[in-house]
Amino acid sequence: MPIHWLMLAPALILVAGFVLFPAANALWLSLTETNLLNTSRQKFIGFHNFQVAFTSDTFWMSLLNLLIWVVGCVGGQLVLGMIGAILLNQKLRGRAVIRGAVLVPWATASILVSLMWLWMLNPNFGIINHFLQMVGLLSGPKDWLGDPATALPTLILIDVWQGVPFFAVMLLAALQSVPKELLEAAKIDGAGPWQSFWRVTLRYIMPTVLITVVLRAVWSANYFDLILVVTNGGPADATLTLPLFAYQTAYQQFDFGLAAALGITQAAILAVPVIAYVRQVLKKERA
Amino acid sequence: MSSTSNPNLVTLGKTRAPKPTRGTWFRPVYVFVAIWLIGVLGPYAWMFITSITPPEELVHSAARIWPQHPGLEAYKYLLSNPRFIAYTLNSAVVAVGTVIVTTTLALLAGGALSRYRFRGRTLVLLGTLLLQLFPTILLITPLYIEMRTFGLLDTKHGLMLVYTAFSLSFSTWLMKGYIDQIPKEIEEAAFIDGCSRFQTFIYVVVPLTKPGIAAVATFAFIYSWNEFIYALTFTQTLTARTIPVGLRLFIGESSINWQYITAAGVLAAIPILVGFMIAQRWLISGLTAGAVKG
Amino acid sequence: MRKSDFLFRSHFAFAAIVGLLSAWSSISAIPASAARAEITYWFWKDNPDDNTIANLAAKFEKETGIHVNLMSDVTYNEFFSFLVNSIAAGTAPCAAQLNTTYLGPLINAGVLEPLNDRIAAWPGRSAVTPSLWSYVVGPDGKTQYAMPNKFLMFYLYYRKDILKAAGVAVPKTQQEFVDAAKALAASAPGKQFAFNLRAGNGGWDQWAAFLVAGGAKFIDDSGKVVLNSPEALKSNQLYLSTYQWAPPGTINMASGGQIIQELEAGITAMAIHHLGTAKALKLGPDKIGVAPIPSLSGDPATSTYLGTMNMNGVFASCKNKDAAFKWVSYLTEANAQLEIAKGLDGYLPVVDSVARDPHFAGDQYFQASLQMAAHAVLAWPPIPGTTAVPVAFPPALQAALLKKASGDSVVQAVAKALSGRNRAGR
Repeated sequence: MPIHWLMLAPALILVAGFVLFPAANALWLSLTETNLLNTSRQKFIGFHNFQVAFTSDTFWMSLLNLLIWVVGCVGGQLVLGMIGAILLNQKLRGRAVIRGAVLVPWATASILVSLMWLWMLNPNFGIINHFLQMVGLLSGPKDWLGDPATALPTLILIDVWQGVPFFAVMLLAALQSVPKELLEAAKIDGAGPWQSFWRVTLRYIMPTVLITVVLRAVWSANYFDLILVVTNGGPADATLTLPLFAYQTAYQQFDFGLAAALGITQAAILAVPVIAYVRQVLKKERA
Repeated sequence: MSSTSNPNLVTLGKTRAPKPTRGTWFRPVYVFVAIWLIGVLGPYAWMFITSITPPEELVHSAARIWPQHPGLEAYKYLLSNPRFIAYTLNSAVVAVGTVIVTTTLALLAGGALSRYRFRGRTLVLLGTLLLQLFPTILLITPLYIEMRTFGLLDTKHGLMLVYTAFSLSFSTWLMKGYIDQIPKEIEEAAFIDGCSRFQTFIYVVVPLTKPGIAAVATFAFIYSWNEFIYALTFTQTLTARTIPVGLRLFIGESSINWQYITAAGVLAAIPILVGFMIAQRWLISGLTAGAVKG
Repeated sequence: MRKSDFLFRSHFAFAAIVGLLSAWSSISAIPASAARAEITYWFWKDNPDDNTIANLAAKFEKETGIHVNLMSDVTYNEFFSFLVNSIAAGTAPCAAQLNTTYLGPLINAGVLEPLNDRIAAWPGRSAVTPSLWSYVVGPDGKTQYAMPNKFLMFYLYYRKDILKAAGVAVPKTQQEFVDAAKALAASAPGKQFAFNLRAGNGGWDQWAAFLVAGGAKFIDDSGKVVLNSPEALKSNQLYLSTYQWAPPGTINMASGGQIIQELEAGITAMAIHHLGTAKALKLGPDKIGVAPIPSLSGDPATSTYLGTMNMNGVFASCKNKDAAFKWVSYLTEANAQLEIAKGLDGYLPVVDSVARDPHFAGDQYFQASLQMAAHAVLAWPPIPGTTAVPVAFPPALQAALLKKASGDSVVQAVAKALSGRNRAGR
C-alpha cells in the first residue's frame, strides 16, 4: 500500500464517515417526504421537494437575503480586515497585546456574540441607542433589529465585527511574506506607498485574498446561529436566509425532505464559485 | 521563490517585524489602532459592567453606566455552579481533543498531498474544499442517527470526532500549503543519509511545521470551542454539554439572566485573550507560508 | 524499520482506539441490569435552580425502589425538537414532560402509550379536578395519552400605580382594553407604552388568549378548524390596533422574560402572561395587579379563557411502562402536587385539594388563575397542525404590523397552519 494513501487514510476515513456519508443520506432525504416522527412512512417523491421550493416566494426571498448577507459580510470583513492587517503589520509598541486583543471576537461563541449585541441593541435599555441619542444622532429609541430596512444590515455589522479578526490574521500572514526586494524595487522605481500597495503587495497576496474570500463566503453562507438567536428570520422574513429557512423547515415544520432539498440547493449554488476557484489554483500549480 | 528570500520560514516561530519605513506613519497608525481596539473591546467592557450590575439597576444601566451597587454575585454564582464548571470542562476537553486529533491527521494528510503526486490527488484536493459546502442543517439529522448507531451520542469523544471531521478540510489545506513551502533540499539531505521517505517526514519535516501546527491548532480550537448546533443536538446531559449550549439555559421563558450571561461571556473571553497573546506569533508565522499559495 | 511498518502499526493503533472508544461508549450506554428497575424521564425547567423534581425522584426511589434518571438540561425552546430527534433515533426516554402543543404530532405518530386502563386502575384518579382530564385526551375524545401535572391560565398583568396615575380603570372588555392602551400611552407620550404584542417567537399564546377571550374557537366538535370566525377577526383587529402604543422592540420580541422586565421597568403598563412568571416578579402586589383577560362580554362567567396543560406522557417504546406509569402518577398525587406547586416552577396543581391549600391563599396570581380556570377553558387542540402554528405566526403578525399584509391575514395564516401542511413557508 503506497505510503501517501496510508497517510491520507485516517483523515479520509473520518471525513467519509462523518461528512460524506451523512451528505449522501441527505441527498436521499431530499428526494423523499420524510417526517422525522414517522420514518416508517417515508415516501419517495422524486424532485417534488425541489419543485415546492422553487415555486415558493419565501425560498426566493431567503436566497436574496443570503446573497445580501454573504456579500455584505465578506465584503465588510475583507475591507476592514485588509486595513486591520496593514495596521498590525506596522511596528507598534505592545504589538503582542494588540494582536491578542483584536482576535478575541473571533474566538467568542456565536451565542454569546448574539446575546451581547441583543443586549446592546435593546431599543429601551441598550447602550447603543442611549449613546446615539446622547450624541444627537437619534431622536428617540430606534429598533434597529425590528425595522426591515435596517435589520439585515445590523446583523451583517455584527458578523463583520466578529469576522474581521479572521481576515486580518490571514491577510497579515500574507503581507508578511511579501519579499522585501520587490518593495525595494518598487520604491527605487519611484512608486509611492499607495501605488506600491496596489501594484506590488496586492498582486503578490492575491492568492491568499482569494482563498480567504472563497472560504469565508462558504462559511458565511452556512452560518445562521447568529440570525437564529437574534431575530429568528424576522421581522416578516427580512432576515431570513436560506440556511435558516432550511433549519425552520426541518425543526419547526419537521419536513425533512424539503429541508434537505433546500440544503442541497444551497450547496449546489455555492459549488459553482468554489469549483471555479479550485480549477484556477490547480491550473497555476501545473504551470 | 527561494527560501533565503523569506526569513520567516525556517526560523522557528519568530516573525520579524518589518522596519518602519517612515516616521510619519507612527501617529495616524495608533489612532486607527485605538479605534479598532475600542470597537473590539468596547462590547466586552460593557459586558463586564452589565455583569456587575444588580438586576434592579439593569433598566437604568445605559443611562448611569456604572451601577450604584456593583457586585460580583454573578461571578460567584458561575464559579461555584457545578453545571457551569462541568460545561467549561467539557468544552475544554473536547477542544483539546479536537486539536490533537485534527493536527495529527492534518499533518499526515497535508504531508501526503504536498510531497506526493498520485492519481486521485486532484480529487482529494477538490473534495476537501467541496465538503465545506454542505450546510450544517443538511447533515444534522443523518449525522444524529449515525452517532446513535455508533453509540457516540452524548459523549465527549463523539463530539471530538465530529468536530475533527469538519475542521479537517481547512486544516489539511492549510497544512499542505505550509509544507509546500518547506524546501525539498532539507529532505533530500536526510534521504541521502539513509532515512526512508516517511522517517524523513516524521523526524525532519514535522519539527519544521510548528507554526503551521499552531495555525491549525488555533482554527480547530476556535471551531470546537464555539460550535453550537451540533453540540446542542448531540448532547443531552452534563457528561458532554459544552458552554455555548449551557448558556442557553440562562434564557428562560420567565426571566432572562443578563448578569449570568454577560459574566459567562467575560469569563470565557479572558483565557482566550491570554491564549491569543501568547500564540499570535506562531499563528501568524504559521499562516504566513501556509496561506500564501492557497 | 521498514517504511510502511511504522505506518501500519500507527493505523492499527488508530483503528483500535476508535473501535475501543465506540465499544466502551456502547457498553456504558447499556442501561443498568434489571436487578434495579430504572426509567428515564425528561423535562424542562423554567428556572434552572428549581430542584423539586430531583427531590421527588429521590423520595420515589426510597418508596418504590425504582430509579428515575432525570434529564432537564434542555430548555423549553429546544425541548420539542430534541424530543423528536431522540424518537427518530430510537433513544426516546421512557417518560417525558409534554406541553399541550406537543400532543398533536406525537399522537399522530403513535409514539405515546394510551393510558386509559392504567388510569382507570389508579386510586388517585378521583382526586384530580375532573375537567382537567380533557386536556390529555386525543382527537378521538376518548384515548388518554398522558397524566395531567400542572396547569396554567393566561391572564392580564397590569401596573396598578401606572394605571392609577393615568386615571385608567382595569379594562374588562376588549374595546376597553384598546381605550386603556390609548389613554396610558397618552399619559406620557414617547415614554409610556401600553402593551407588548410579542410579534417574535412565542407570541402566539398571548394572542390566542386574547382571541379566545374574544369568543374565538380553534376547532368545532367534528374537528374542523373554525378559527376564521367573525369574533376572531374582530378580536384580532382590536389586538393589532394597540401596536401604535407598543414599545420599540415589539416586532421582534421573543422573550417572555423581557416582556415582564418591561412591565416592571414601567415601560409598558399591561402584559398578558401566566403564573409561571409570577414567581420571578420583583415588584409586589402593591404595584402589580392581575385581572382576567379582557373579553367580549367583560363578564368572566360568560367568557372562555386560554389554558395550557403540562402533562407527563409515557412512550410506547419504553421497556418498563409499569414503572414509568408509577412515576408519572406519583407526580400527580397530592403530596408531589403540593411540592411542585410550591416550587419555583410551580403552576396550578391539578389536584383540587392541593389547589385549595391555605399556602396559596395569599397569592393573588394563583387565585386569579384558579378563578379563571373555574370558568370555560380552551386549549390549543391536540392536532398535528398546532405544531405548525409557531412557524406561521411570527412572520404573519410581523407582516400585518408592518402593514405589508392585512390584519385578517394573521388569523387566516394560523387557521391555515392548524388545518394542514404549510409547505415551504407562509
